[in-house]
Amino acid sequence: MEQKIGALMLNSMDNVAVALENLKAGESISIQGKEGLVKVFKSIPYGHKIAVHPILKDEKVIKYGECMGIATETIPVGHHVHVSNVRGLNKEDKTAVTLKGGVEK
Amino acid sequence: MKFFKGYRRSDGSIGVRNHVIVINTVGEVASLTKKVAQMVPGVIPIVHQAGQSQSLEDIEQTMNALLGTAGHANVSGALILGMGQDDTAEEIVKVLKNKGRHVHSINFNKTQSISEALREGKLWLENAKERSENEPTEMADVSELIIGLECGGSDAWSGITANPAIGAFSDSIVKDGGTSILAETTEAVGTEHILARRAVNEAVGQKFLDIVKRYEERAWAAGENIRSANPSPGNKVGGLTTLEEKSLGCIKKGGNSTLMEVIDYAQRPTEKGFIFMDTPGYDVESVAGLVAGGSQIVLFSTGKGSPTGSPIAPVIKIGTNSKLYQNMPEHIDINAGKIIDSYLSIEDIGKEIYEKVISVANGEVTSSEKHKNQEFSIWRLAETM
Amino acid sequence: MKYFFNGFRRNDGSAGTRNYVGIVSSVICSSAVVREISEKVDGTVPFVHANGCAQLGDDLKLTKNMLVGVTTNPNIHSALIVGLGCETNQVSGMLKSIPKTKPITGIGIQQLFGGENTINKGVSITKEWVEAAAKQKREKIPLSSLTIGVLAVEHDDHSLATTTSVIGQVVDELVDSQVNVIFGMSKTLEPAGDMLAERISDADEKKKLIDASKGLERLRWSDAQLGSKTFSEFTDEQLHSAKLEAKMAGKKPISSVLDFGEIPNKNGLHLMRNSSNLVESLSKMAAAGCSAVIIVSSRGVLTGSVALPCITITPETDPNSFDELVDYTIKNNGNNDYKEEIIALLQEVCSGKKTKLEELELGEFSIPHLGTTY
Repeated sequence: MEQKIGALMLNSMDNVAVALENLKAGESISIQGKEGLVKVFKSIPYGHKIAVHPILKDEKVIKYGECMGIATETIPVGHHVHVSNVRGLNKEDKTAVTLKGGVEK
Repeated sequence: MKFFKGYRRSDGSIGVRNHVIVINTVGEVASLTKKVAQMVPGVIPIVHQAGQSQSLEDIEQTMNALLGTAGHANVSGALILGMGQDDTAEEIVKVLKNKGRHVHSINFNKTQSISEALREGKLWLENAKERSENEPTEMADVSELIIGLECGGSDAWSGITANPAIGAFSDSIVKDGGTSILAETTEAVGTEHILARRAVNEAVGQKFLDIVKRYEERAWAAGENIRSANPSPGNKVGGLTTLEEKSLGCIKKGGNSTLMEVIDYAQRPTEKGFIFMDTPGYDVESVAGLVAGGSQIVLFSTGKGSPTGSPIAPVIKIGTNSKLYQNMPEHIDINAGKIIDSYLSIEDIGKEIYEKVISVANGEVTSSEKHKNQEFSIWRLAETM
Repeated sequence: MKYFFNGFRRNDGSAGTRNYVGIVSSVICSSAVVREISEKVDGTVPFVHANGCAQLGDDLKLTKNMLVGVTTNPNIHSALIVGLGCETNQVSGMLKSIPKTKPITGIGIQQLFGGENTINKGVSITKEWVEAAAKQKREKIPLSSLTIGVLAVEHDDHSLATTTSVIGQVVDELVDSQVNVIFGMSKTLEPAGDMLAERISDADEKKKLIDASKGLERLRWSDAQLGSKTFSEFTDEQLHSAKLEAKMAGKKPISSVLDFGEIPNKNGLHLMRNSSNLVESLSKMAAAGCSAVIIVSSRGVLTGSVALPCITITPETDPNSFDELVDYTIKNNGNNDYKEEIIALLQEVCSGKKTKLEELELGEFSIPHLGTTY
């Protein structure tokens, strides 16, 4: 394999991928489930998430094809997605998700 | 079409094993249960400490678990040991005999000496064993399989490798007309809206929301707020950001299929397809419930390495990382860690699981069977009276 | 001192009637490994149970207390604790709570990379301990070094009429001889709580008994109401039987009411809150430090404790009863040496004579739940 696979997308609809090893700032990694390379902005430990699509503030963070949280600030591609820029869902979010009858990006 | 060779039972169910078991109805006869099982090679003792001085809800739950276990499709013959005059052993035998199953009860009471009772048990088991050895197998379609889905000793990789791979398998067998049962209500807190949305109708969705709510209230009564305690600091270090993300990692064992039915502990599903059973996250009790509900095989993902199995159902252990597989090969059947280091896809491991399920249904011995991990315990709902 | 027995002296001042190497599983996940080690090494007893993980609050506390309790039981020469690794009831936490008065080691399946390694390691550790235990000889020790349990199981007014005053005399005699006695208190005795409370001086302990006599209260979790409990008042009939049963606890002052796997901190007569479940009750007695138990029953029981000799005493009843499991029968024909005979039998059993349940190797262990599992 020419380019090592650094992260895994669990669902094609996801906007984040999971780092399969410690990702170093500046390196370009290929992602299982996605075409092309993604440049890592800041180091990301294995098991943590990297943004593979830009996520705007207040937009859903999608993993497993489902909404796992809401971005509290705009997250560019290649950035670490974690507690500093994502919050859990509250009751209103869930009702909204249910009403829309499905997850869309 | 995928097929396996199984044992057709008189009630129409089909087993992937042909066990002869002895099971107690009350804890007081647990020692005698082990004693009588030891008299006949190959007989499996199933012992527990439930059944005595219980509240109504536990009496019912114990009865369901015992009925489901003794009458399981993987069981060829069951000897049920009880005590006293009005014991549940006779009740269980009555129900199962009505379905044509090969069962017998012995009640220890004062009409028969203990040595006579043990002799009677030994004779019955010897016959049952011989009878089981002459039972034929027949080809059956995977649509007749019920597969329980469980996790225990999870780690940071559980939600990334093993659980999604189990989910991929679950979607495949559901597509083939089979049944998979997701369990562990505790693990679903935070994602109940997602599974409820996948329910086939509103009633099923509402039942699911109700059991999750009941669970949270129970934990709250014991001083634990599941929502604020999760993800734990350790989870966050591992990369989990929100409760939803953590729970999604668990419930994804159920893939993306439509939720057809929500059933109580140790109950048999009446629908095919993707099912949810209300069980605790405590893996041994959850597996006992899944098996009593008819699961012929259980898939069990583990990250830290858990050896536990079931007395009557083969449990297939799916390790979440390759290090675990190298360290504890004796307890792991499938290494989902290949998703991390061999760049296999989730679907690849899902296929490997499916092939393993068929092979195990045809008789391949799993690691938990090989090591006689026959743990069994019934979920309790009240203090003993 | 009037009564002696031949037993095993322990470093903490207590004495054992048996000299077992205990193998204690911290969680159900290590139970198969514990059983296998025990099967491979004669002289060991397995403490396996269904608890140890996914438990909260008091429920977890009781599991831990009882497991710590059985490792410190005087019948246990040394104890190996076997865990899995990721369980709630951590082996390291148990080890911290156990006083260092005997050989104790903890091992874990995950730490040793699998069941086979753990079994091998467990076998080699316990084999060594069994050899050491075999070298220890019984010595003449005052009976007052012992804690004896007394447990009444499934009786009716007819059987109580025969047994209650005899056992009451035995309890009084043991207490007078400075033997520590733990008397089991299940729902059949609870209605007499207020009556028994008169024999207790400590106000808090007194309140426990008075509260117990108000009605039967047990925890439930099937309904999600917070702290849901069941409560029912006792009937006159239950009160009548309880008063009869209370005579079995003799006439001496009561020191304390034990719960949550507590170990009594002074000698005397103690009541222990129990369920009506035989195995749970015997297991709690083992955890509280009893070296032997007297079971008084109308019918004889079908199991004892995995670590304690249990003397079964019944009234003379049906000639077809399980006499193969009964050690002593209280006959109706007026022989009045029952008390002396029972204490003599207790001394013999404490000195090594096997009880009927021991001869048949019938013994169990289990831990009750104070909460549901999660």
